[in-house]
Amino acid sequence: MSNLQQALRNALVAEAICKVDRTDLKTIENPYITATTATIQAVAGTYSVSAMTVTDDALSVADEVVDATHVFDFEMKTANFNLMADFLDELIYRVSHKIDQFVLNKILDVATGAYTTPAGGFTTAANIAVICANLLSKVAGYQSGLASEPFLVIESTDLVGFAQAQVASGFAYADAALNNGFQGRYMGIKIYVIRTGTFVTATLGTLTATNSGHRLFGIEGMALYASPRGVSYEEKGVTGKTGKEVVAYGLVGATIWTPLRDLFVDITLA
Amino acid sequence: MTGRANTRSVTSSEDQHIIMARRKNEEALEDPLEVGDMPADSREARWRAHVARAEAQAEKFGTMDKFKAKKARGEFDKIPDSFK
Repeated sequence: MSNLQQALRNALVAEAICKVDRTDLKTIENPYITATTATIQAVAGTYSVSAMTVTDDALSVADEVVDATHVFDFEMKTANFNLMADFLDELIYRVSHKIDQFVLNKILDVATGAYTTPAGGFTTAANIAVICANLLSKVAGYQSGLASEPFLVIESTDLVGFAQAQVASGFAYADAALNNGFQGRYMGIKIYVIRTGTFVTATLGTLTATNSGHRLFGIEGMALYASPRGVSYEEKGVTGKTGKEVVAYGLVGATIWTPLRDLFVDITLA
Repeated sequence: MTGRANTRSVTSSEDQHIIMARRKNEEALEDPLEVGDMPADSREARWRAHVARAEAQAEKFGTMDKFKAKKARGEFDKIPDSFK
């Protein structure tokens, strides 16, 4: 049996840039030590003792994403497709996409690094190297900075400047871009492209996002999102209707642990 | 009225009404609307509530500096298209 044609689907990137916890935990505790300062002095053999401060930090799973539909029995029997399977596949994708959008916006909202691009943002080719150099400098010098895997999440409309910059600079790199198209790396930064309109100023569950016109830069594996048991689904018969109701749902929570928030940069497009 | 189509004097009660409405608009611009002045479910009222929630959230997340910078840049002056 053939499948129904699906609507265009967006790329999902949260799982690539975050650590993902799929256990049943509702709250993940991760207290942190506030940095103390070591003293350097002429040899004397004496020292003073200072108190170590430990602060609570936790990630709570406080949001859920749900999508549901109903397939009547006559539809199932008379369609030339496996409607139940196709609808379920679509529902699971939609839930996954909303989780992805929530995670990206939550991480962007809690990031404490900040950078404003030159006028034109990512759409101006001449800005690309300047922006990337500035972003790298924001995380340089930390153990978990440049030595790790920096990433940048841009929207599809930002690709204009990137693509032009890639074919215009370097030799082998420019040739590769000319032959093969968009390169997923630039100045050591992994570039993820998501559809325009993913970063939003809108209410996403318990999150009040204010991210329209903003983009995200950070270090891979440093942010955490929890999705207990991933996306689940149920098929059930309901009273008053033939066929089955299908529902897909997932729980989600996301954060950057407080001491690591400077490794994530909220980019403002100018 | 020949030759004076665009320069008529304002005397009729209809024109007075227009002038009053304009004055009211000008006053309204000088004195911005408060949340209580508009229907609670209007887009503007919901937007103001959204910004207030975002401020409270910034306090909770420890990102108040970022919120203030966004506000200073005027990001909350205009309702973005993504806000439904």
